[in-house]
Amino acid sequence: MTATRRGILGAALALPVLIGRAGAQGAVPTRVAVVDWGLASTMVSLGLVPAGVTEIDLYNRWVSEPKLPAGVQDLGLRTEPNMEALASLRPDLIVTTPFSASVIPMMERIAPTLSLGTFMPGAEPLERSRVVTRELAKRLGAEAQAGSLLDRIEGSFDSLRRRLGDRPRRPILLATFSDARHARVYGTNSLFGNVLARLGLSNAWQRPTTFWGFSVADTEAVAAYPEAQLFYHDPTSPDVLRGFAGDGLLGHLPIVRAGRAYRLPAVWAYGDVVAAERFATVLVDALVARDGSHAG
Amino acid sequence: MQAELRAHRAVLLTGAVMALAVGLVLVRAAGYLPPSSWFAAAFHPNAENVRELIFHYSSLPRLVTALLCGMGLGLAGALFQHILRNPLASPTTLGVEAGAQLALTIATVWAPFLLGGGREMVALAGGLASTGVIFAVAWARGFSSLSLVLTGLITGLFCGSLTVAIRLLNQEYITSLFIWGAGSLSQQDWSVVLYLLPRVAAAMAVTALIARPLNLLTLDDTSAGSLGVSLPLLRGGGLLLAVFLTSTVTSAVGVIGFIGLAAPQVARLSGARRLRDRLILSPLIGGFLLVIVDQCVQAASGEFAELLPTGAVTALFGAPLLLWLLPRLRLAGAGWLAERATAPARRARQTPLFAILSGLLILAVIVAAVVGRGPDGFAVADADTFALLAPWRLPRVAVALMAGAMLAVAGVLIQRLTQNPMASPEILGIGTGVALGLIVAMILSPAPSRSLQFATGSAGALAVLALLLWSGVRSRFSPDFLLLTGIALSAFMDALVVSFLAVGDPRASQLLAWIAGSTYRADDGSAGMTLAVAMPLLAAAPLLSRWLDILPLGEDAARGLGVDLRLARFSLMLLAALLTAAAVLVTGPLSFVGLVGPHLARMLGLNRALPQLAAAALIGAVLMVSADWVGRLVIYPLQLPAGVVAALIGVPYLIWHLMRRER
Repeated sequence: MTATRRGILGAALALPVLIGRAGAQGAVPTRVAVVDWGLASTMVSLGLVPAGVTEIDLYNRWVSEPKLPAGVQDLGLRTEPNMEALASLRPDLIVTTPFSASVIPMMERIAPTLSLGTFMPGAEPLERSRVVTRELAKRLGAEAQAGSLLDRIEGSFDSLRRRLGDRPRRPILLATFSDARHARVYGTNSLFGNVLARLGLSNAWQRPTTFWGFSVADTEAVAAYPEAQLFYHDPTSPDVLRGFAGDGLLGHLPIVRAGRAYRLPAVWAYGDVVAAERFATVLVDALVARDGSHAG
Repeated sequence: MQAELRAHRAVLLTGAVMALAVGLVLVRAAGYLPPSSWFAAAFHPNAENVRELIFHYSSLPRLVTALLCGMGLGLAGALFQHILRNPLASPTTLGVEAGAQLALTIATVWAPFLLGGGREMVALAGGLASTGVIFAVAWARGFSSLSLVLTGLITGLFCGSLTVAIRLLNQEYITSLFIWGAGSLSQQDWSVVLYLLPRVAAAMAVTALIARPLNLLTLDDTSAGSLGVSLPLLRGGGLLLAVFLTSTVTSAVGVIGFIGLAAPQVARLSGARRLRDRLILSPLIGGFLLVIVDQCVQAASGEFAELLPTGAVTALFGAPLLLWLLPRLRLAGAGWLAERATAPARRARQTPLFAILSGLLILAVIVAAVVGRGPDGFAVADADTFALLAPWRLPRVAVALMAGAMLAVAGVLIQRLTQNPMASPEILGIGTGVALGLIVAMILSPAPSRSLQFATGSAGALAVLALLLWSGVRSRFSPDFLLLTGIALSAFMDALVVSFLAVGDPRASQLLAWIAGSTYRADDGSAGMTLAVAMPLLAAAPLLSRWLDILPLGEDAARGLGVDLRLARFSLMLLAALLTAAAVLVTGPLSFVGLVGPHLARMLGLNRALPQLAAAALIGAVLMVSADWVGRLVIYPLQLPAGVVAALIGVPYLIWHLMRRER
């Protein structure tokens, strides 16, 4: 099997690459290619600059924070990074997730590959994101930065929790609407669901989800939680906004009529520990703003 | 008398379907709200009572929507089947849904403001546009049933692959589109009902008006012509009506394929022989059938998942039923697929032709291997760069070359086997079988390895092949049944794929990439494997060229020449299926090379099997290698799948060709 897989075509051509890689083993990598947005965000937050990242335009739109420094090279699709671009970058490390398992053997031929999974079956993404941050930092020789980043984020969670005070709060529904009739609702095993727990808030959505932590649901399913409060993330399409304002189930949901539906800016739901902190911040801002408006 | 009795049976069956639907609805509603408050909830729901709100804004409009959609599709299906004289004609066959979906995808990604004005209008525009193309072709060819169905299929596949390409590059938008594509009936107000009601009602009124003239379509063209009726006009008008109905329904709720196919069929098989009976009973059966399915889906969705798209479920139930029905159908106007191509008059001088084709292939391979694009723009690789990039480029070129040749050869086999110059390996449904296998791999493992994908993909291809062979044996390998089984199979597999995608699993994009026909995952291992499989298969094809020459002459001629028809058809099918499976595993099912390659070879004047096989293989290889190269360059560092690029080149050419060629 191995003999046929290797050897037929291009094995001789691959040889110099293999030799080149052996020499780089052991040293701290300096030219790092990152295939996953969450890992790219973590790396930037550690104060390091990746040499290449996938789908940079979309990263700027969907992840938005932290910004990627100028000069980072685009490596193509996250699911199918451009092998020629990757090879031309001559990286000494490629960082990716188990999600690209089927491509990892190909990437291994360009440079050593580090695969770090935040979203794994049965694991809690927030805890995983901390582990992933430490492991990435360890490989990149940035353990001190990782320590202070994680400390700062834990501190931030603590102070956000203090800002919430101990007043009783309604359970929270977190959703991204696909159209006025359907939404992704984030469950307890999502990154955002973990953040709710960390902040001492309760997630109204206790139903089964995919291992990415969301369920696809229709508006009717959301209507089953009249006592909850609803937070929906951008991007939100125009017909969803019309639905909230309109004369339909969405507009008549007790949650919506009682003014307990809030729009949140875009945060990458499949991101890293930094995305978790950013989500916590925008959520607590919205909750506290509401407290203020009710008091006044 | 007999006809009366049969009609009674059909009415009884329709009544039973309706009673079952009403019973289900009542039981479910009673379990949700006490019957005493139904009336109040229906008209003036108590704003504090969530159940009454849902009853008013969701359950009721959903029920009415299901009924209206089912009726519309049932009627559209009855019209299509009658006019095209094809018991398996359906909205899908005309590419209406694919066009609508493409329009929605484009609007979502590039012009979301259009959606604010209603996604229904966007979808309708797309559906009508794709139908316009089909009608333009059909018009040029006298509205022959065959040209309509085949152009519809090609256009549908084309729109489908464009949609896939756009989605691939914009993955964050895709969830809502998948839900739409899968036919979700969930409602949140009465707007969809208000949209559908006048349109479906108007279409029914028009149908009532033209029902009598439509009866004439059962006559053949000359006798109807002598009665002073313009058949093309009547067909065109009737089809337009059916298309209007279909795109109205699909624009409102997405793709619900099976109902429009099955309702008229149930009506016919239960005894409704007359057109009038079918036009009345088909919508009723369609409407209440969809209500039954949707009620079951709602009852199940609490248990298994939050959201099961009803359209996907109808296809999951419906397609197997269709496969079961197929051998039992008596195809009206038998041999509707047996229309022959007029052979081109000129004969080519072959030696220079093959020299040119081989030269083109060598040129394509060299250019694809050497010319690339990097962060600094286009570049001809120097020795160092080539050494760096060759491990990525060469396997892709090799795989594209092999796959193109195999698909084109499979295309020649299938076109000669079915005596249909527009058939292609895509139609056999083998690609969708591989897709199913890949889904199984994804279910088995969250991060499936390549060898697992390869194993399950092959298993899927072989399962489809086995089914094809089985139905082939039953139908004595009649070309019509072969193609129709393939189409039914594709519908079933597509429904499965769409349901998986609609659940919103981010891994779906891998599947999507493969469906679009990407050579991305090719490496020396898979290139070697493809080579090892391709060589014996390609070498086997010329050995069968005698059969390939004789089969298109017709069954009688073939028997006269001493050909064992069963053996010949069986062997050709097996070889075509293996070739397709081997190619599709590495480049995805949506390439049109299997259609275009053989066709171009014929255009070049190669009518005999052996030269057509050789030329088609060369053309297929050139097409795939160039398509892969273009796809690698145009949107660097993103990449367009080779299958999509090949389709972008091939399909417009085919459509132009169909329009131009004299009937």
